[in-house]
Amino acid sequence: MNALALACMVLGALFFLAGTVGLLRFPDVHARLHALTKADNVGLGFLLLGLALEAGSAAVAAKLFVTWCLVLLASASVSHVIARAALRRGVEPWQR
Amino acid sequence: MPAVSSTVFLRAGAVRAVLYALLWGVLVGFEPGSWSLGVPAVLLATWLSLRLLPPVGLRLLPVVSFLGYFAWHSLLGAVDVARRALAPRLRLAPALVPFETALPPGLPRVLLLNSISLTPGTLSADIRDDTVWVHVLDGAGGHEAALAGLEARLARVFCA
Repeated sequence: MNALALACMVLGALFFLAGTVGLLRFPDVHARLHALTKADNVGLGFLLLGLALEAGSAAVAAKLFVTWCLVLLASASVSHVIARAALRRGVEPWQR
Repeated sequence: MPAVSSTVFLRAGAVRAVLYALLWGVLVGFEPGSWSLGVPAVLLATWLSLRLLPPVGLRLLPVVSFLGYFAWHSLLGAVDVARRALAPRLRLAPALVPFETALPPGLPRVLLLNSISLTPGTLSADIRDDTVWVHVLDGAGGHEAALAGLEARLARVFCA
């Protein structure tokens, strides 16, 4: 396997790991959304970049890129909707 | 809604139809047989998109510059949140801060809300009138400047 592709996928997996650790450790719904949206989006980006490099086909690479764009759009929108729903139901953000 | 001339409408429709056709080709493959479904799907998508989002004027150079800025800051945001998640002691001081936006409703605001959520330490949590409620991971950080910078870059993307 191409070393660059492997490095991208390992980096992507590390971002997913960090996002999941954040999901488990962060104190409330709003802080957890930060971990999920940011770390997972970049993690998926690196993972798909690695897969695209390994695929060796422009058509597959383009499909992976479109997938990533759609996931970015969906996760940013969904995280806003969840954060708003929590606020409007009276969930006060956790404070130190 | 401001009156839009039919030339602008036709041009926006043509551009979008080409983009949807490309999307179809990427997802399904550019096989001749697929277009018996693809052409109606592209036409339907173009018609729907023009109904839901009338033509908007975008400036090419600011769009490219915004995408670069956005990509770099989402990477910074991911590194920032990953470090916080993996740090032995959680260093969080979350707060909910208001941010007044001058961007017009519709696409510019949707883009602002979504980009806020992907930049370091900030998450758009609600919008009421012209006030975006931003959840920040660290209330001490200078988020005002970052948010204002993001808004200014986004404002340049749209033709006045």
